Amino acid sequence: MEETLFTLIPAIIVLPLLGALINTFLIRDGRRAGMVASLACGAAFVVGLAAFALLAGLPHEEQTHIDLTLWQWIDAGPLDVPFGFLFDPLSAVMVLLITGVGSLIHVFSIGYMAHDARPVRYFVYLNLFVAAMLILVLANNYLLLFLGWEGVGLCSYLLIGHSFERKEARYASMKAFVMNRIGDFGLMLALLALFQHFGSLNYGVIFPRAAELAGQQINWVLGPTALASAIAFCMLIGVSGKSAQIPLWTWLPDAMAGPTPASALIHAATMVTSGVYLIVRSHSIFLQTQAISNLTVYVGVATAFVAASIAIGQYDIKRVLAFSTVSQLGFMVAAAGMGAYTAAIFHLLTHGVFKALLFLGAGSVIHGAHDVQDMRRMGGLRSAMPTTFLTYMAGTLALSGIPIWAGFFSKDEIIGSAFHGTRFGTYPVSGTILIITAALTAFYMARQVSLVFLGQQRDTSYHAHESEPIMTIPLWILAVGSTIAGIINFPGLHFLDHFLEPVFEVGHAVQEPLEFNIPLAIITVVLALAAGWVAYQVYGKRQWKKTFRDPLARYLGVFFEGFEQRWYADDVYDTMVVRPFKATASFLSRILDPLGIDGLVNGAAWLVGFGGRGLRRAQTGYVRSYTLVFFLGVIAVLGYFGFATVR
Amino acid sequence: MVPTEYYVLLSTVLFTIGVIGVLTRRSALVVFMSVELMLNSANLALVAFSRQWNHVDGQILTFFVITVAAAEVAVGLALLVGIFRTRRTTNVDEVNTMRG
Amino acid sequence: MNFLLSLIVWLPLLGALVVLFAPGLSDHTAKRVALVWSLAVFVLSLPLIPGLGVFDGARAELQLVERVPWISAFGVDYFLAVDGISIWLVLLTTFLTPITILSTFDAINTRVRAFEAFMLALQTGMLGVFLAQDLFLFYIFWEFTLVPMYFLIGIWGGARRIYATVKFFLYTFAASVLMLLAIIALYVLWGQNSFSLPDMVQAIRNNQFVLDQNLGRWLFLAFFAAFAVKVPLWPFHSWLPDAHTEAPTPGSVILAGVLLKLGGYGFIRFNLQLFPEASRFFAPAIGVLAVIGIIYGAWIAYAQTDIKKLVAYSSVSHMGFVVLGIFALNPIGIHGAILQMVNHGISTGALFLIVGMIYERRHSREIDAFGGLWRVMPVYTFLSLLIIMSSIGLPALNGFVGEATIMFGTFSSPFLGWEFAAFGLIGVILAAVYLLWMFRRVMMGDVTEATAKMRDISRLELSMLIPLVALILLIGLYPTPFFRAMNESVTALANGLGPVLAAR
Repeated sequence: MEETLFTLIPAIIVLPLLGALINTFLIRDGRRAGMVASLACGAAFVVGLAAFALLAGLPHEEQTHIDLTLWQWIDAGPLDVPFGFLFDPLSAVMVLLITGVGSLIHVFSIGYMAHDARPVRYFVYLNLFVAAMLILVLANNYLLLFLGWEGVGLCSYLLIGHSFERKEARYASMKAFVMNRIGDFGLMLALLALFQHFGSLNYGVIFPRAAELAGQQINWVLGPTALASAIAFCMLIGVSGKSAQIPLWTWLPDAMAGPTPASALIHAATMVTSGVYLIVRSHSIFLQTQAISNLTVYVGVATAFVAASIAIGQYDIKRVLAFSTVSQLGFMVAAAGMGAYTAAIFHLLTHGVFKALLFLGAGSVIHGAHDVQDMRRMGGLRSAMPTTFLTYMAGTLALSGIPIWAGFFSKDEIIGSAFHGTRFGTYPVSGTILIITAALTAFYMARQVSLVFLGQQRDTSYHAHESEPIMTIPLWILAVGSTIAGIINFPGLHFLDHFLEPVFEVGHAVQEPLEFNIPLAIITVVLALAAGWVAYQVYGKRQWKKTFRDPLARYLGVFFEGFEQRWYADDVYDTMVVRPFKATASFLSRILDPLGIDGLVNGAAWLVGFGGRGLRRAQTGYVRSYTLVFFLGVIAVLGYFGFATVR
Repeated sequence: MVPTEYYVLLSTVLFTIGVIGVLTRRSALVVFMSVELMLNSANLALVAFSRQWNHVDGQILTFFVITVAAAEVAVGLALLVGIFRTRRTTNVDEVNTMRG
Repeated sequence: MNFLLSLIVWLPLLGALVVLFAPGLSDHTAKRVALVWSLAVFVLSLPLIPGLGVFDGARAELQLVERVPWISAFGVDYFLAVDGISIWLVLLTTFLTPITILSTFDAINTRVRAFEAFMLALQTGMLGVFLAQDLFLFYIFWEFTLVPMYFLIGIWGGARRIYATVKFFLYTFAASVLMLLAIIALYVLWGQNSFSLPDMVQAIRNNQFVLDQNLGRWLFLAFFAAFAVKVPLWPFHSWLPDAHTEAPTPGSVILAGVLLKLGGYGFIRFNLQLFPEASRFFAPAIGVLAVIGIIYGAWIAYAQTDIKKLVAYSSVSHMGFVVLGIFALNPIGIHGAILQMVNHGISTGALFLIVGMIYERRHSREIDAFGGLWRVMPVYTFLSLLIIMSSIGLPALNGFVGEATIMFGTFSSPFLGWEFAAFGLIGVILAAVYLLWMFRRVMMGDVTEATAKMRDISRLELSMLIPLVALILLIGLYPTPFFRAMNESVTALANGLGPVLAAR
């Protein structure tokens, strides 16, 4: 059985890679490329499902030992890194999410990208992304994880910049890559420290010995710091970059310049959740440091709240979803920081399904509305796009946390953990903020649905139409998923809790499955419903002009301006980081290098030249004067010797 | 037998004439002749001392000097002809392209 | 086969003479003769690949030794040999030279025969530097490399070529003279009437040849000067941007591809082996210079408007990593540094090639002159993207393997430590900034009237880039054979630096 797994696991990764290769070299037709890509991803899903089934059939304690090394990747003296994979319950569920949701998005893309200028390239990137993401979650060591980590960053860069004719796509793609790089800087530093201490980067070596980190310290400018905290902090920088948390979150909203299905896959369902995956994977290390775990919670909670508030003030249909994603990622990061790892993964999975649905729904709207993205120009699309509307509602209900839809269970588990407490204690303040954020979520989603689907079409310059079946079928599947996905960790059953248990046994991080907290659930649901109702009252009832200002602006004043302007984060970064960087570059290039450093070099050359110009006067060019000097010299020498002899 | 002092004296006089010739004359040809004069004065002194001490070294050296002088004249005259062809003069003061 | 190394070293020079003096050779044929000749040298060097029998990667000592007395009065030997430290650099040289000569097909149209002759002569010089084990012989080869390069820039260069080439020559030459002084000093102090490097190193390790501490440090600095200018290490870099900007494309390729590596190789072979104490003493200071260079080069690259100058400054940044790895003074760091030299040769060589390709089409290297190449030249842009990503240090491509290994070495080095690694990693961020900035403006962006007519990559150009791209992927995914071949030699070298270090 393990042998079968050993052949299945590489196949999961090789299949999408193969798809990318075939599309790069053989296929020129967009639709056919889409078929190949979808087939490759779908096959990976099937193989992943088989591997999942095999893994589930294994005894508990063997589930974390499916570890295979394909080849020795780096072997530089003591540095010894395999190109190897670990297939444990955690990576198994991630694989299913990536390939499952990925396949649907591939299929959807066939329809969505039909009129694109370069569909083949798009599908190559998409397949490449799936492969990189699979490497990320399947790696058995941190350096290979890093390979996937940067690989998905590259694909994200390529997909955001896919329509590079548009200026914002060009800028957004670079912004995404660079901000991710800043995060990767932290992650790499964490890796270096881990290697320095453990002499290996393999999970199998590090996690069982993670307790050794306790008591270790490193010295730096702020005095001695616990090594575990330093490592976890560096990882948190990486998480902040990849999962768009404060302070490195501003790239994700801009990343919406990419094609909408790509946003669904990369900037909602999978890539951005890899930060959460990293924390959960490294739980043994985070458990050693209460301080950084708390910091993780605060970062997550703050991000969740701030992003939700910004989502209220956006008019672009995709931007609302982007900020919603940032906000939901904040929920997951907060949960992971609390030590509620299963809750984080649970929300990661359900969010992957319903946010992919919402993004694809938005894609369907944009497609049907002929590339209109401003919600103020929409309205009343329910009649023109009934399927999209229905499925979109499923996603909205799931995201807003309305009972029986998936988001309700997963979000509730996170809020429950905050109040119920974990090994790090309880987080009542954070929990309260998360409840408020959940209400805000319901508000902006109800606002969006009201503005897009309800009422009358405000801008009648285009004729909206429903999307073709190749796009609506994935929507239906995801809608069903969003509705029932709560079952994977249904209170009382705790499938996911039990399935993931072996992973957390290694780091002794197993938590008692959280029981359902009925009063808390009632509070959140009532708040969410109330917020949704208010939003409907505000936005769904009246007939707006197509360039209206949000009515909240009148009541909230500067606050609403803050929402609209994303709390000026980009402006702050621009003045504090980007401009000084450019100014310094220009100073170095124009002044310091040519005048300072090269000035010294040329100065030395000038000095030699100056001396030469002085000596030049002696060279008259008259042979006779040279001879005269010569004779005088001879006489001087003879005289010297004569004088010396006489004395 | 003529005393060695006489030879040395003659050699000195010849050498001085050569030096003055090199320093004062402008015609490259005369400068050359003056240089030859100096070389030959040195030869004279060498041979004279050689006989004085009954030692053959001085005479051997004389042959070297004669050889070098011959080579020098060959090269020098060739240069001179070359300079005359291009610049139509043998006046050393006008050939000052090496002036810094 | 004990004359294999001599054959590889001298064959190119013979080729240079043939190309230069063969009667009735047209420009067209001269290019092909030079290409075939350099390919022959490459084929001859193939048996050196570890595992093919001639060179054994599992041994630490020098192999394929050729040693004949040359100037016996001064104990100068003709002494060639190769070990794990130089093997990949030798192969890099024989591999890159044919590609460079291939690039002359488009780029060089005047005095072709002389150009090809200089290229081949340069190859002899470079190979000699990597293979010579006699200090005197090494110095001769070292200075010999200057001459062809001087003419390559001075005759076929751009508008300010004379300034650039004189600066290049004088700067490197002045620093090399200090090294000559140190070589003579070592010869005199040792008093064994020999310039043999391995014997001298052996004597130093056995404490038979003990240098006074202060003197050792001065001699270290004399060698250091020559190599630091060549690498170039900040702040000795200012000749490089000028030389690169003015040099013709093949000149830039070989300059970045191989010539800069002579400096890094020199650090490892001479500074580390001959002066272990001084190496330990100066390591932190040199580490600081290297880190400054990494960040400074990257930062300044961002402000360039000339693509070639941007790549030149990126070299300053990338070679800073190499120096950092070397002066980590531990096996991991040196492993990484040697591999990174190979990587940089491949990636930056390729970068100069792709810059040359669009220069041939547009006759400009200003970033603003381009835009939208991704639309008009898709294949070209695809390959460029791969090469740029390799230079950025994307995992799965070669640049990452080298840089990451260097970073691991730096972090765990007792002489450098985490601060150096952290600042070095900032350079990795900045690499993404300036290269993607260039990519955004040149490859993305709007197609202009001028760029619309640019044709996509030709077969000839493809044949230059494909081998490089293949190596970029190979080293990125499976660098183990490269590391294994140098492992023994590097470990032995690190042992020589002090017993503490070898254990790490």
